[in-house]
Amino acid sequence: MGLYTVPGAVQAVSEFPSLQNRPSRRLLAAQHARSTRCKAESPLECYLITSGRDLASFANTLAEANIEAMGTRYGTVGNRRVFHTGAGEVAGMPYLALEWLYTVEKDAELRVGFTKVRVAGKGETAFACAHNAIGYRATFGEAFARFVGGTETGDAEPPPFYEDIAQIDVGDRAPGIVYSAYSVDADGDILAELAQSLIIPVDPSTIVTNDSYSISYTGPDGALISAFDISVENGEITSNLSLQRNENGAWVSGGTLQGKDIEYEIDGSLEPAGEWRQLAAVRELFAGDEETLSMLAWIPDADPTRFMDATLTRDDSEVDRQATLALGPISLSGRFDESGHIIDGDVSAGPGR
Amino acid sequence: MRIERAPGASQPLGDSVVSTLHVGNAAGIAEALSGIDGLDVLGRGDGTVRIRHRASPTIAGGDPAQYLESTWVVDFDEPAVRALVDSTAAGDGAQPAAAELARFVFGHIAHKTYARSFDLASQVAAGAAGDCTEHAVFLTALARAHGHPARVVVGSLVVETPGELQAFGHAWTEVHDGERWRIYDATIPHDEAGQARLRYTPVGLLRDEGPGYALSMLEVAVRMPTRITEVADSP
Repeated sequence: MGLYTVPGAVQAVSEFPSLQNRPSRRLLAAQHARSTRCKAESPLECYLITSGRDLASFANTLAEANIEAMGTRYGTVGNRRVFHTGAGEVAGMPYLALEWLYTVEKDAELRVGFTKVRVAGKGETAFACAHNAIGYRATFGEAFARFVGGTETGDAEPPPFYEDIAQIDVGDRAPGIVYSAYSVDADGDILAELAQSLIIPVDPSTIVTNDSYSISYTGPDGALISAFDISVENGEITSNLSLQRNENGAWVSGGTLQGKDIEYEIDGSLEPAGEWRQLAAVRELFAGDEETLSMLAWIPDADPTRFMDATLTRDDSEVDRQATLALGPISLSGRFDESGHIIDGDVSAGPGR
Repeated sequence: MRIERAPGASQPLGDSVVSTLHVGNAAGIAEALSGIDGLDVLGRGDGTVRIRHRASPTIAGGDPAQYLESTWVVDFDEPAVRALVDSTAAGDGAQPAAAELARFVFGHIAHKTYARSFDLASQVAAGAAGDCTEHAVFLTALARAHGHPARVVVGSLVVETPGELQAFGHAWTEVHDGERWRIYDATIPHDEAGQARLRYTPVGLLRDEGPGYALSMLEVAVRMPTRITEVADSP
């Protein structure tokens, strides 16, 4: 304890006994915790964990632990409302924000309760801060940024040669964040990592958390070697799937999906494109004379039993580096940067487009 | 989903209603809607499809016999579902009516929540939580287990209560009664609808009930209108 400090903050004793009692894998894994005070009466609690990458689940668990602690201290929690969700980048890491407004009642006295949390992380390292007081969002955000930016965590191995953080907007909300990183492993293969976390309010008092993590290995020749994909919904693993070749050279897509074991053999002569090959394809499209480019992709969230056709069509007559990606019934129109990553885009819908 | 009456439209609306659906791909969706019994496509414009909605539209065709099997999604052969199939069997061994099963599903799913994205029938049986898709999948499973051909349908639901129209993206179950497909909505059993008038507009079936169901759901979900306007009695 005490290895990590929030610059300019004053240390205080932890006020979250429930953190020790709650059977939360994430919070029990917290290796370092720091409690400080800002101008509000409530202390600011910050944590660093080194065994987690599920930001949305982590944010939810931390918020629930804080609300539970407020209930233990002040009375019965009720009238819960999701006050704010947010996402973005802090100190080179993706972060998620979650704020709850509620009432706490004891002896017929009703008080307003407020809990805000922020979590950030990449790889196995995650940071989190929580504060149980209304307002102070900007101060809280600044303290969180100082905590994340001022903490030495060591470099990822192998170090990525490219990193990207993309915010997911739905309407006027920013419910999610995507972190991608590319590195070269000891065999010279390209390792692509993609971590996506979403906090989605589904009604005024309910959120759904979704974390997914996928990695793929691509050989120097651009051929996909293997891919892995894990999805966690509301803190529970809903899918854990992999794509690898068997001894006969056929692809095998299998693992666990919604509690059931699945295994599908797919034609080994097919060459699906991994994340890295997909980026290269975008670059080739804009550099060449072709209007469209098609490839196969393994997208287990949509259909783990087969490869899907993905077609990219240039649409850059008016907007530079704009293209439309058709993936089954989904069509995504967006602008791409020079490396092949999407800068921004809109998903539209409609069959037969 | 936003919904607006046409100026001067009657309240309440009559049995046959016209409306304009605002959609992403009018041509594709008009084609999809043309395969629905009880619904007429009157025309289409730029991002809109004009329809006439008659009583209880259902997806046209489909051999009822192909909707009796236990599948990866509608997995009534799983122990969690089997236990409830046995408990819903009629005392005299007769086949329970689909409406009875809808009421059972409504009661079994005690935790009405949007927090589940899409559970398999066995997950619904065990977890007793979910929204319209969980109700539809679980009712489909129980119906099939009792020998009723049944399938999961996705579309929009317009709820008319005195002085108010509301529209939602929705899922429900079609059960074949030996003559034709009929709508059963376990989220609103028939005797729970009260004064509400319910108008279902299917946009498609869950065709893939295997591990690739998500793509199938997406395929029909993207046909959903973003808003419904000019709702009026059919002339």
